[in-house]
Amino acid sequence: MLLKAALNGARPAGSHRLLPLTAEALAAAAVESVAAGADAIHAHPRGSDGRESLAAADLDRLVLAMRLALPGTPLGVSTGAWIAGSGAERQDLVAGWNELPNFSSVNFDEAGAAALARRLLRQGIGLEAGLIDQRAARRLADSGLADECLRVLLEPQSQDLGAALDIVDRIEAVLDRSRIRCPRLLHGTDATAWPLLDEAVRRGYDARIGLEDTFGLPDGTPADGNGALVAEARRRLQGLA
Amino acid sequence: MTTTRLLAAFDQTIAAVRRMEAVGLRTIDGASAQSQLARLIEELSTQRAAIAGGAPLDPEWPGRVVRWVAEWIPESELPLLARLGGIARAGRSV
Repeated sequence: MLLKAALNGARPAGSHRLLPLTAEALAAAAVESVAAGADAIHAHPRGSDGRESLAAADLDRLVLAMRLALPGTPLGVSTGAWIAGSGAERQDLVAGWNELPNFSSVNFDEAGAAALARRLLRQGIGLEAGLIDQRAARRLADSGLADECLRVLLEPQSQDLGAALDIVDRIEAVLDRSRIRCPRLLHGTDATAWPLLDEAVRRGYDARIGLEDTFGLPDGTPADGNGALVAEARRRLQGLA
Repeated sequence: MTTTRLLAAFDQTIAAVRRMEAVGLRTIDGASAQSQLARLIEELSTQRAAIAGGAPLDPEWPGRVVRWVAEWIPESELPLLARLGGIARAGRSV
């Protein structure tokens, strides 16, 4: 099973002393994470002001830094609607990318998701379908793109573990009914980050951890960066698998 | 065998840093990187000596060093981060 390090997410600058924002800091965090046992990297590119960005210059800078620091390690980026507005705007930005990540996530609860996903695929960028609920799963099924997905991301947003697992079950019911067979990655955030990582291991799914998902270790101790989180996740993968 | 691999990773990284010293590398801000490179060689040499003496690699050391190096290394030399990561990976298997 694959362990992906989610290095920064939409976390605001300064929210954690080791939150990586620049391309160089993201490359360092990626190196640290791969050394600790991550198989792939997920990052949210940032502009010079530290805010999330899908602008070609910011994306290119991140991809180049990662390629230099970690040649051969799969890199994925977010395309969340909150970063750059409508699907059409995001498609235009993606079309301008020169240095391409290995894969990008598209949130299927967002407007324009299918068109954006097709744009990514046309550019040779792998597709991860982000599913926060059964409605998003249905939209993926209806899009006809499921067979093109590198993996689907089961991303329940509830901070209540029972409710989050219920959402996962509902998403999976749609995927199973629709015979969507691509690999599944399950992850939570904050309160559900570690319980859902353990659940992913129990189900044999791919898993994810990093400062995007949590600032703390399972016992509540503040984590000393992405490397510390990945090292703990790798220990749990080996212990629970 | 794995300690040998770890020591080799240190040696390759030290050699790479010495090459940067020899060509007068500058930091991402354009200043001389000599003091940073000297400190890095000292850190690497200290860790290598400890490991050669039988000590395990401090698991927190690679992350600390990688983050510090990323603050000043120019983009053209980012592969140095991968070398430091190679030390960390080799250290995990010792």
